Amino acid sequence: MDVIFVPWTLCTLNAVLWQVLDSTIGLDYPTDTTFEWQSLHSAVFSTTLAFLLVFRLNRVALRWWETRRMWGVIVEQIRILVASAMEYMQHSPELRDQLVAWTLGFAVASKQLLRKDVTINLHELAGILSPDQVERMSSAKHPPLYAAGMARHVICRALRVNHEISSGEATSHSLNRQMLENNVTTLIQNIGGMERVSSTPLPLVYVAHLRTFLMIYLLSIPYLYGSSWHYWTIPNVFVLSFALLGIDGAAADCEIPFMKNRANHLDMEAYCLGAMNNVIQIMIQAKELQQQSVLQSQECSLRQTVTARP
Amino acid sequence: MSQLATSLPAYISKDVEEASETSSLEMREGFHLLVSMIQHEETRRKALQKADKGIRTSVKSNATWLRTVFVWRVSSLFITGIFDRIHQSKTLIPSNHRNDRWT
Repeated sequence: MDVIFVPWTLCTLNAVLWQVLDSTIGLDYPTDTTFEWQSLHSAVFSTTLAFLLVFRLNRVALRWWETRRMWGVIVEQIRILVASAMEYMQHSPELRDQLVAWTLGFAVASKQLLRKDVTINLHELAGILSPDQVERMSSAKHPPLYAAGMARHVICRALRVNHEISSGEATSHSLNRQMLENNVTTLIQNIGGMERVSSTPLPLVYVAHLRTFLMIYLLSIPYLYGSSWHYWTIPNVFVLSFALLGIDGAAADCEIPFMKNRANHLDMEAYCLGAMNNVIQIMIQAKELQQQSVLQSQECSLRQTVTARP
Repeated sequence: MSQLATSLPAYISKDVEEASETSSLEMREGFHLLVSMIQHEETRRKALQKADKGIRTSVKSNATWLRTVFVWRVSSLFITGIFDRIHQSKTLIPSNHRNDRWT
């Protein structure tokens, strides 16, 4: 509503003005040519407007779904990365936890970047990253890239290949590092895609052309149809303007869907929260599995001890 | 674990109990982040709750028409408090987002 308020009011006031002029002065229309003008008006403007409006709405819907898809991929990659880390970085719990923390930091940092917020609310990453780490991340020029860089660094430290480890472990570490690295790369690719949507609106020529035609069409309605509609001109223009401007308004509202206080924009808080809940579930499961395997191995060794005793 | 311990001789069950205590302690120590995340879950949830009264929070049902009615309600609220809302939207919308708007 707020997006179309000004042009909508303008069109309605124009209809009111026409009505006042017609009532007071009495506009004299050449009735023999009115029908021809109405036909031309309908054919040229209606067709052009239909094409332009459909195109604009279609492009915006595509952009909206694209950003939603990319957020879905980010949440999905976080799940995969954390689940993989739980299995392949068991030998280094501290670094594994750091990787998980920076991965979640990436999601919140992405939200910050897309919203163009100056800082990150410390409470959003409470219990995950320390205030100092959040401060350093949010003050970086590109916070998600900072978080991804930290995650990559942690992966390299945990799965380092050197002369102290066996060749089997070295092969395993190399493969796992490559896999985790791919997850981090996918995260970066998707935030890049959303930045592209955020920084590049639909080319101005399409929007400018559409709005020019739209305004000419709506402002000319009272002068062409007023002689037939009389007092109905004002409500007709009011409704018609709302219908057509509403399409453009919906497109404008959803074009860059990253703001906080718009109902149609992406609920990025919910995505971050969802990812965090998923991570907690994955970690609890990993903890239980690890406990089970430890207990099973202890049970086996104890049974062996019992059977070995005379 | 307790079943296993009771089915084994005394000198072995003691070892098992000690071992299980040690391992569960190690488990807790090995998952600092998990403990920390669970402890601060409520803080994060509050911080990440959407501040506005948007469709998601105002309409619990998934019924499309209910959502449409919500949009009408928001529109009517806009009309009644028109000047406040215009001012608010101008202050809330960052400049790079605003350039594509009519206002």
